[in-house]
Amino acid sequence: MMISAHSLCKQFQSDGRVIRAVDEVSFSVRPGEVYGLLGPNGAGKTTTMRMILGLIKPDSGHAEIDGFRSDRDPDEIKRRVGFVSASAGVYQWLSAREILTFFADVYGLAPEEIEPRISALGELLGISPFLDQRCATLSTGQRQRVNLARALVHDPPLMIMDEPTLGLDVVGSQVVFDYISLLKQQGKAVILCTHQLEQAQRVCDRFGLLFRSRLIHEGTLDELRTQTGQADLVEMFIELIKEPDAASQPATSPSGKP
Amino acid sequence: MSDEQPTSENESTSVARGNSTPRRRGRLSQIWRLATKELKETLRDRRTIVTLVAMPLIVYPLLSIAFRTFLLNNLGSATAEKITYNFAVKTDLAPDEFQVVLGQWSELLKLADRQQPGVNRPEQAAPPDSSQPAAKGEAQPPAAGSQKESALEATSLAGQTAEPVEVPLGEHKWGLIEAPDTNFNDLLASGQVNAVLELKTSVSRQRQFSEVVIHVNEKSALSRRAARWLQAQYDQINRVVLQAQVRRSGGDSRLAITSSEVRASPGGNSQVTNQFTAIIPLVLVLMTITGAVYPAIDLTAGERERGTLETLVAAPIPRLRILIAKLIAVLSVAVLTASLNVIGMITTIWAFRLDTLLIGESGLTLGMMSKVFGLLILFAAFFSALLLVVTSFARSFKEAQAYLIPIILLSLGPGLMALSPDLKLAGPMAACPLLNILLLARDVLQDNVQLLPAAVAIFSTILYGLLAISLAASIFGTDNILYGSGGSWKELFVPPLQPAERATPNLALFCLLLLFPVNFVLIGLLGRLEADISWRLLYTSAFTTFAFCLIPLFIARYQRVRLLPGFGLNWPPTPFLLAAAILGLSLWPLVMSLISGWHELINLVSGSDAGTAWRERIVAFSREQAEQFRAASPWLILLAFSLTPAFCEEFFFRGLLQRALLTKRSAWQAILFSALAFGAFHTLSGSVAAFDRLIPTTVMGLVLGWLAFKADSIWPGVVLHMLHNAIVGFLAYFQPQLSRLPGFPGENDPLPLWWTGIALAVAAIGIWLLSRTPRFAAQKTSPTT
Repeated sequence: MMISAHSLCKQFQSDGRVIRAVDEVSFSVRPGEVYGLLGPNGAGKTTTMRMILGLIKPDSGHAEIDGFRSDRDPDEIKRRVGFVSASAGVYQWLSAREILTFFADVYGLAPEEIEPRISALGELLGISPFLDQRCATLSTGQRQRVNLARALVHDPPLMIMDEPTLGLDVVGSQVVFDYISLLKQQGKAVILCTHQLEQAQRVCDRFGLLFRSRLIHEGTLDELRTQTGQADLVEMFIELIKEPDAASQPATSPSGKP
Repeated sequence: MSDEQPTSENESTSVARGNSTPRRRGRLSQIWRLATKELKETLRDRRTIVTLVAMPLIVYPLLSIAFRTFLLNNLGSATAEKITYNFAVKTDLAPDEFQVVLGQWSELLKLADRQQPGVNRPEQAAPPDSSQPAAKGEAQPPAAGSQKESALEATSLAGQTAEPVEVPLGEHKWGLIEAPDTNFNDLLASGQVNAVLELKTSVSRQRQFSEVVIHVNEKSALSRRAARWLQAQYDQINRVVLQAQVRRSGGDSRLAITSSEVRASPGGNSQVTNQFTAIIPLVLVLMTITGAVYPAIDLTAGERERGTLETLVAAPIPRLRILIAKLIAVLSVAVLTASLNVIGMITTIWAFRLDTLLIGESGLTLGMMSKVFGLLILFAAFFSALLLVVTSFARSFKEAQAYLIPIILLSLGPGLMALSPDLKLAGPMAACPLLNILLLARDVLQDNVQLLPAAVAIFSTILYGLLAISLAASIFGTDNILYGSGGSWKELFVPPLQPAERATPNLALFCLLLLFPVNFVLIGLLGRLEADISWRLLYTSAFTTFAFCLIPLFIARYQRVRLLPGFGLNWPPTPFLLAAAILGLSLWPLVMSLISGWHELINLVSGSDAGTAWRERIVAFSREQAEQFRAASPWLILLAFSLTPAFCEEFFFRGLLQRALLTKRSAWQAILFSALAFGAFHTLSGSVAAFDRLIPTTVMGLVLGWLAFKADSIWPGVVLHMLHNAIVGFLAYFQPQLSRLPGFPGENDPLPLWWTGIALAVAAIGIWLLSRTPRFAAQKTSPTT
């Protein structure tokens, strides 16, 4: 079981200008591996993730999971992916349990599987106490945990996490990163996009550095150190942004955050 | 047209989730569960509840107060004027004899009034079955002079007594009916006459009326009042005569006592309609719209704003299914609002006793209200779909509201139009969204429904609803809406970076929706142009070219759709052209049989000869039209009815539309949809015969669609269409010459059976040829990546 992106390309038009958001990005992730997709704002991380999931149609290239291609069987891809993003909201007027039941149903879980699954996730993510509370009354951290549970409800082999800790405090982020480690142990593949570089350095097995819509470095931390000559991710980033000729394309993301 | 590929729903692939595999469940049950979630979310929201409950509670009492005030003011001013009635009299008397009788009656009424002033006041005299007037009148002391002669006091419709209006008997219009076989009902129904007075003279006693009958149109308030007034006058006359006879036996026996009775005219189609009836459906429709607006915004634009749309679109469910679930939720809230409003309205109407005022003598029946409620649900479904199109387009709550305000204002126009009592549900009105449902609901309340326009109204509303929901599905959750940042209008019209082989279904549907009003306006324009027939035919050609050729061409080129593959203009192999020519020559008798069959079906369903009557009307209409067209050159007929529509309609329906649909839908779905659109366009074109064209045109659309699909080109369709239209046009044009030929049927005669037989055989050869010719691919489709 392999997750791979093949030469993903995406252009956007903005005010008559053509902007290259993602340019020939290819990488692959193995089960049990956490892949850190890192880069400065506007490098094309979010667009790449959305293309893998089929939320944005690439101009060219495709993603492949378990032999299914995103351009041919988008639903098969969606079925195998759990998706958490910073922008994902919760249904204000439903309780966490209702949201989880709804998504379990949407992803095709059998009715008798749903309750045990929700209880297990509730224990794991510490959301049991407020499972029956209306989501409008939950705190940001609690909501993000509900979202995490929502993404995991169908037990997907791949998790795509787009800044899952945005807006969370230290404890909240820690819960999320602990959980990423747990997913890794369970043999799941994780694509993680974050700006918390130190945490990323701790949980990720391999990294892809996106800069100005291109994947310019890829490898384990050691490999990156050799490639860049820098000691850790933070230094690599600073060095990257300083270099004027790192890429020739203008670096803006018109897709932005919604 | 969702972007999802339909294949994945049906596959039972196992997901690597270790312990379980996704179960394949019924689409319906999934839609139901999706809808339940949407409903839960909406109904828990207090904003929904406010519109749902508070509105009817506040609106109806206020409305009824305003309405009563308005009516009283209105009637007050109306009754201050003199009302003169038109009476028709059926009698054996000569006109001058009747004048004498009328004079005598007036004298007697003056006498009666001097004896008992106020006796003939309507509150006493009103009901025909009431025995009050004589009994009461007798008891009253005579008082002379102060009262005016034969006063009529009008009862306001709301039951209160308004100012009296005095009109002596002689001032009303009295017309004698001379033709012996005149139908009273027609006279009454047309509103020319308010009541008919039938004076029957007995044979034995020649100078006495054996029976006096007052005929009334129960549907008209004016007619009921006229009859009531006449009845009261006649009772007065009888009473005076009786007293006179008692005093001195003898006298003129013509004035002897005769019982009079009021007979209701059974004439069904009252044209004197109650102008207020249409208010009921209008208020209900407006309230239903109010109920649907909030959930529609909340479940689409609201969901995007809260960031839950992305997670929903990231789930493996087809967008159409999500949207249908949302439609069900919005519809449920709308219907719930409608129900509460219907309850509120009925309560108000009963509490304030407005029912006879709004509807007529029969009042509000349960049957009527349930029919109106059914129409309301249909309308709510259509409007909810429309709302979802607009709100799917919006990226935020605010944006959605901005889009909806014009839509709601726009729907007020037809709403107000429906209040006009002269407006009938017929022709293009039956296809005008909102207006058709309002008029149909009004007709239901007046118990005056015509089958065909009602069917057009219902069918077209369903069609618009389906069109709207498919459009909404193609917009909802697309990456443009999901992530588009700007919201500037430019974005919507930016041409794509790369040229496309074919238009997207979205673009084609947009074109279709745009062409619908354009076509309507152009047809209206053609009707208004004052030009001779040759120019008219040229205009027809120009308009057809503009609508079906130039607009689609412009839009498609702007969106960089390539001309040849986009419109299927590649030249096809000869067998297709041959098959097309065979079908073009042979299909017309079958189309005519289809139309006859349709008329027979109407006969059968209605259990009358409605279909035959309709057919006669159409034949008469066509004859008139053909007569006009004969003034023009046959070449112009060929241009306007054959060449131009054949090319232009193929260019759009089988070219742009069907080929765009084929990129996302299966062949039969694309062909069926384009054929239905083709049929609907011809049906809604507003001519008298339009409704007859639906079935044959859709069938033709299917044949043309199949032909275009197999040949991968529109040219065979152009050939078929051209030949077919040319034959049908020339048959009408040269009818006088042709009918002189031996064995040629006259214009009212059905086609000889053997003609149809031969045509069927030839058409079968064409179909056979087409089916055995392998599908042609003009070009290899370019790789999608």
